[in-house]
Amino acid sequence: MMNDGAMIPISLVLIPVLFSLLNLAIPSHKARKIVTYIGGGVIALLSFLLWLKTPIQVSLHPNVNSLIILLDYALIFYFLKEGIVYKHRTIVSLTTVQLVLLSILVAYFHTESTYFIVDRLSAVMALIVGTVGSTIAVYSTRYMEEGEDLNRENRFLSVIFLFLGAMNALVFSDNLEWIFFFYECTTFTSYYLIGYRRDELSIRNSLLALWMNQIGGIAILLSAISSAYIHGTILVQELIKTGALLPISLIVIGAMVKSAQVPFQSWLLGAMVAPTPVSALLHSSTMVKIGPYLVFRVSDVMDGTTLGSVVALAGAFTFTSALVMALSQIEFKRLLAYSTIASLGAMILCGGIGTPLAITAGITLLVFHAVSKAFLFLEAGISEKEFHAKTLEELFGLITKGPITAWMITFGAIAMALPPFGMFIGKWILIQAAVISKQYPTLFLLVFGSAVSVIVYMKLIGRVLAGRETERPRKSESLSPTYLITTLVCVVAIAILTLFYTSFANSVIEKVTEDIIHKSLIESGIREKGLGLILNAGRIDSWQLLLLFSLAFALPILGYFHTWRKADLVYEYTCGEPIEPNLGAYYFLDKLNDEHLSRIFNPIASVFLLLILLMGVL
Amino acid sequence: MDFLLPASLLVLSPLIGGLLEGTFRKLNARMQNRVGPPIVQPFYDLFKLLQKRPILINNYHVIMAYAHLVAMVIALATFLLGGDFLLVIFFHGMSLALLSMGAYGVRSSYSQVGATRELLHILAVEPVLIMIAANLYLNTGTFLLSEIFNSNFLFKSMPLAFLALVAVLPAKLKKSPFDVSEAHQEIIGGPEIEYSGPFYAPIYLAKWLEEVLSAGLIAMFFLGNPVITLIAISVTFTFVLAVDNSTARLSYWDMVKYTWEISIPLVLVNLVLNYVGVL
Amino acid sequence: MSIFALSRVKSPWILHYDTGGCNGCDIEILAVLTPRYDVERFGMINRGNPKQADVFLVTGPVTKRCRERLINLYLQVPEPKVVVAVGSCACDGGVFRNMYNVENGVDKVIPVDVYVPGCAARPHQIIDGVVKALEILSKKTKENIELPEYIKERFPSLNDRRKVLEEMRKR
Repeated sequence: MMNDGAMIPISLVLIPVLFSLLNLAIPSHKARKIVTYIGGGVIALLSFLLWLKTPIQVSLHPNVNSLIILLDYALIFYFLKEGIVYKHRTIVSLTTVQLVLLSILVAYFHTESTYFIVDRLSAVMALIVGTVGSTIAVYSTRYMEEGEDLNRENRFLSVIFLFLGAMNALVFSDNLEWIFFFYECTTFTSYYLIGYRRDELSIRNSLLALWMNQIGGIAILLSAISSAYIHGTILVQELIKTGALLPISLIVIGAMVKSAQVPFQSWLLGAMVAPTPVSALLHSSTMVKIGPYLVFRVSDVMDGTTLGSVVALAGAFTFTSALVMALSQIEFKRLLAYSTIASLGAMILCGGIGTPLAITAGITLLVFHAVSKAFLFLEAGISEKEFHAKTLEELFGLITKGPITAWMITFGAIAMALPPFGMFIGKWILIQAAVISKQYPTLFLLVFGSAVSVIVYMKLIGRVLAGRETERPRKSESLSPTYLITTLVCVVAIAILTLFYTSFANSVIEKVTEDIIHKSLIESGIREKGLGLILNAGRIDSWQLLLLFSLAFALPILGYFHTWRKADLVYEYTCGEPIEPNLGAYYFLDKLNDEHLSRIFNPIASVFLLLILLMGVL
Repeated sequence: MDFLLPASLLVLSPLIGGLLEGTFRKLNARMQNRVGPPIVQPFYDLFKLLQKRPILINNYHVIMAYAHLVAMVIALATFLLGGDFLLVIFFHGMSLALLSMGAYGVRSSYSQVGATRELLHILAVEPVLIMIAANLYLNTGTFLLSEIFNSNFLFKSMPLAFLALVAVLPAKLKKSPFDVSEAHQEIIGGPEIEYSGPFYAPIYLAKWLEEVLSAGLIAMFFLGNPVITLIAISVTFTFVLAVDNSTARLSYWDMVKYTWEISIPLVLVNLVLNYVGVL
Repeated sequence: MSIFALSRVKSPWILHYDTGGCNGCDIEILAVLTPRYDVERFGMINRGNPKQADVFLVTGPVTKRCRERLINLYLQVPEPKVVVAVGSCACDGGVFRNMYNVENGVDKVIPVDVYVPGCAARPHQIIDGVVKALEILSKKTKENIELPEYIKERFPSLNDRRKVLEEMRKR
């Protein structure tokens, strides 16, 4: 463990806090914009530096421990106050339980170790937070200029930066007590940001998010207590070495709550009433990735055990059920939320299987999902503010009003579902891993889900693309530079990461996998060949990748720029009638209404949760 | 030598596909006790389409037709050149998704309904094929077709998986009872309705290539003796055509339910039998 | 004959439209498509939509209501195309000649290439007519886009099929 570069993790936690305080203090919107740009750039640069300098171990001053415990109690009392103010009995009772458990932990099992341990998994998480998070923070400065109260914007930006700092600190912590504190910090930021608009719906949904996330916090506390009681340590790295299953299963449950897996999915769906940058940052790219992060952290222990198979099955069940429920969604952001839940289920599935191939698939999904989903949410925000289109019905024919946005949404949906992009490659490797590890029930659910995901995204593309040549606008819509820059950054990132996936896999993903499974990767058999990838049982060749990549990029570019000059233009076939058809989309509401379905799926998922707990005990 | 046969098959695949499609139409006609068109009829159709005046509704609707063809060529090339079987399945699904994307791109009622139904075809076909791939892995230890093609007579150890494939072939080839996306007289051709002339030609060509791919999938189970392979392909296709001529069209929900209630259990039973060692 | 002209003759796809007749000729046309008369040996398929058709089979004495729809469908068929008027009603009005609600035949609205008389026209005659139409089709190219006389009178300023269709949509 090297110690140079020790300042980088500390600065990655403290600099966001600094920018948070700056944003809180500055009254002018333009000045806050500049500060956000600078802050975003600094954080992104620091996270790149961090990746280059891992692994790092930083030992902090012992007083930091006491500070964190103090802040922890303050946070819990704040939640208690909120519960009392809103007369919410569940929050009050859950907070009291947390208070009791924390006190037990602090009194009996306190430890003096104060480390930030940064291995490559933490570094890649910090990289995602730094790059995607900064892009979204910059985007939100422009987003908040339309229709939101600019006077309160300082609190919004400051809480976003606070979240970036808390998230970084969580992935650097080794101590379960600290992980609990930063977990609850992210719960606090989520609670504040969901309720930011201060109308009745937002407040109700923020309270829902609060108590559901508190259940996760209780799971982490119970894991810490059990780990300390049975094995005498609350440090994660030591816990993994002992191979204990009960604390691990409790951590997994905490992870599942944070990732809004079924049966906890309602808080994430309710969180979509927040402003779109919140949905993009917290509820798709970064905060909900805490779930897969924790599962990957402990996946080495679960490799080959029944607990691992049950976790994989639970992840696969979430994957399929969330996508099936996504088929009937009419609101754009709810559709994206269900798709996020499904992808997180796939990542937890990877962690549950635990073989090197599966972990590679999981990290691929993690990175690509963060970028692609953030991109889609940014586009959702643009269509919400510029075109006042929140539902799929209002998005119909967007290509005649805003061709750039329509083609961006198309590109984003293609990047989520079709070859050669990273989500597809992750899914392909995952299916290979599931077949090789003989996890047939998981495979059964996985293949269904992957077919449904294609349907969900193609339907989305279909709504925005319906148009006529005769209605092509003379000029495309003019988007503000901030919107253009942030979305183009995402497009370029997706393009580069996809085209050079193999070298990205070799230099980044493989190293992360090695750190997770604590072995070197020679026996997993992933080799690169040109631009293609050779696995033990499968192969993707460079010519396939190149052809598909050019196809995927030729589609939006040609669609936007090319016209056939020699062809006649006609209208659609309406049996000769001169009518204008009024077209809706299939929502399968008679068969797939998500309220009915969640009544079926939630109990099944709860059974999985109980099984996870059981496997941990036995 | 190793590379020559697949490459020449790939180059000749439009020719083979056209003759295959013509044979289908002739067989169909003979089953209905009539004469039917000549076997080279699909080529006449293709050349006729190429010389029509181009008319279109919007440009990306047409671009998606070409993208559909390109994706189907990529899927067929991956299959013939011995790539990864999972990739073949996914690329085939991608080409259907591109067609439905194109069909969604026009504001025509039939086109939109057809596009949604085309996506449901993917839902019906892809899971079964992936489970068959899992079964193949259990039997041969790899997903790479170049090694699967070296195995002999897989039918002996995977008869139920082959039956599941045959059960899914009507949904793949768009023949009754599962031709829900191209429902003539119901939605008049579904996703293909707004294409005409030189812009319909790529879709027509892609259909031939899909038939070549299906023939390849059937052949995969009967390798070793070329005569047996050809007999197997002919018998299976004749059976599919007979089913086409004698059944009516079912609804899209029935198609999805049918594959899930019949095909997937067949493959799962085969998997279990292979795992236990009976087959 | 070049390969294209040959294929034009060998693969004519049909669009069938009834402009208000008694359906007798329509039943005969459907009979032509059945296995007994088997018109598919000439390569003919009944595609339901005009964009994929070459031969436009019209029956019925064009009623005033069907006039616009007939023109709409005719304009959507891409060149080269032939129109076959099947039955006496389509030729010159037939039983309904000089009634207040008919146009007295298809050629008052769109240009017709082959007339197949009969009430109802027998399947053999229909096949004969279509084969004659194929001879005419082999000489056509995709370049002459002829707007019907009727349209040129009504919309003298429009020379584009899309503009005509757009005008007609405004009714």
